[in-house]
Amino acid sequence: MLRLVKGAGHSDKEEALPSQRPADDLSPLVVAVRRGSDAAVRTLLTAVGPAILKVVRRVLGARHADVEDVAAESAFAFLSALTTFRGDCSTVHFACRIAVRTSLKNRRAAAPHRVVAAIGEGDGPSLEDHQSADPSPLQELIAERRRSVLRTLLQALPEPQAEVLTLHLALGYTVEEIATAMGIPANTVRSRLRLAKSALRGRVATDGGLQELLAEEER
Amino acid sequence: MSAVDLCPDDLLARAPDGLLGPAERALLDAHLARCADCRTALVVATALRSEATTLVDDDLIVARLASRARQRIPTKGRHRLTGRRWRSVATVLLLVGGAAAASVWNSRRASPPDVRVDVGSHPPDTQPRPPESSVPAEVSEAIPRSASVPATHRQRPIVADSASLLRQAREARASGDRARAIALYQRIEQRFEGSPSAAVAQIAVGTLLLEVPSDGGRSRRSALTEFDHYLASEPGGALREEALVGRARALESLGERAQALAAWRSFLDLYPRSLQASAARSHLVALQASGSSAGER
Repeated sequence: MLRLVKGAGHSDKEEALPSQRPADDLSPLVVAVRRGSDAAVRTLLTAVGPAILKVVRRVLGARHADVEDVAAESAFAFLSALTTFRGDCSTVHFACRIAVRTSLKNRRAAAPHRVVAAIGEGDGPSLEDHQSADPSPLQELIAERRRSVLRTLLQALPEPQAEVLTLHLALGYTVEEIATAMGIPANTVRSRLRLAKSALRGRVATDGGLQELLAEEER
Repeated sequence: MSAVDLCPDDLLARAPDGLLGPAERALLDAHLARCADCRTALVVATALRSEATTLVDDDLIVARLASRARQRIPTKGRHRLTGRRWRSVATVLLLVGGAAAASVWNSRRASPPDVRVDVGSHPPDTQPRPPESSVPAEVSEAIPRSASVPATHRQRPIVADSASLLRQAREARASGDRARAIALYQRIEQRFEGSPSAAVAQIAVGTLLLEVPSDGGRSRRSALTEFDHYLASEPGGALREEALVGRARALESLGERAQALAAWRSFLDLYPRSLQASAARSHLVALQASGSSAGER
């Protein structure tokens, strides 16, 4: 529930975010949060919360049991990091980047480097889940299993590559957006993307189960 | 430069959302024909983005996020924590810690930790869930709020229990098992009365009761009681907006037109810029219109 905060809109040369960058509607709130406004914290989190939630769901899976806990961790990490936020990117992109990192960290901690390709294994939904819930097509079960496997694959990449590839593939960020959000050169982003995509394909090429799973998506 | 060096990454990022024009799509297709890395990447992107990431009650989840994070962040003017605030912060920290610990624990063990309390007759994911239509209309009556808590449970680490219960309740809710979710949230209300978890559970119970199919208004009246109780016990509570909206919805669904009108107006007076303000105005207009048409008849 977005509410405007009194006093959040006035400028302050010391604390205001750089003005030459694209306008960010949330920057006055960021300034107010830094000043210690409780109301601004709530309003800011209400504004970026849906984006954080979306990122966490994309990384963990929409119905993962830890979605809310990881989103809360991401929100707290976002607020903590605001002290160092220079306004190089939009506040929402900054929050999303932190949510990606927090979510990936959570996945790594929960299941370190475990890649399961076969249908019927892994931490995704089981066939029994679907049989007991509302009747769902088998295709939906396979799609969920595929997403679960792909998330595990992403998580198995080196951290910088996983972060860039998640922003790019799962969230649709352009190279420029990733570079701005992460504060790194665009060429570094391209380089990480290239390495990550190559590693991804290499992993798929050597795993018959993965190939079979992805072939369904290509059809 | 090789073909791989010229990967049209930005086209690849936008393609799964169908945002490419014909020329861009042709460019991407030409590249995909010779770049296996990008073909794999596109398949991955399409698969990951095919899942809906916005679910029912996201507003409530976001409100809880804001509430939880606000209690954890040290802001100016809050350097000295009062006794009540200490308890609240400690509870949230322990809740998060407990949830994280449970997550790690669960990843290492097939069976749940012994601090987890099974509620109801079927543990998660082991027995079939009842179909939606079989949710008992008198669900709130079926789970007595005054049920005593076994002594063994009271002696266990209280925070780990609340984290586990919240997790189970969320799982039940996400899977559509409304009756079980309500039962779990009510347990949290009983056991952790006065805690942030109980407040969240109270609003969740009210919201879930509003979703119960027609049962003569019993569930809606119970929902109204939940929201009224929250508003009375937490006058400045973090979930006040949700409670006011829930109260107005409950009154409206019970056919209490005058009270519903007053409730929506009161909500808009207090939160004119809320994300739910637009919906609230629509309800007001509809209620006023129904009043006029009834008067004409």
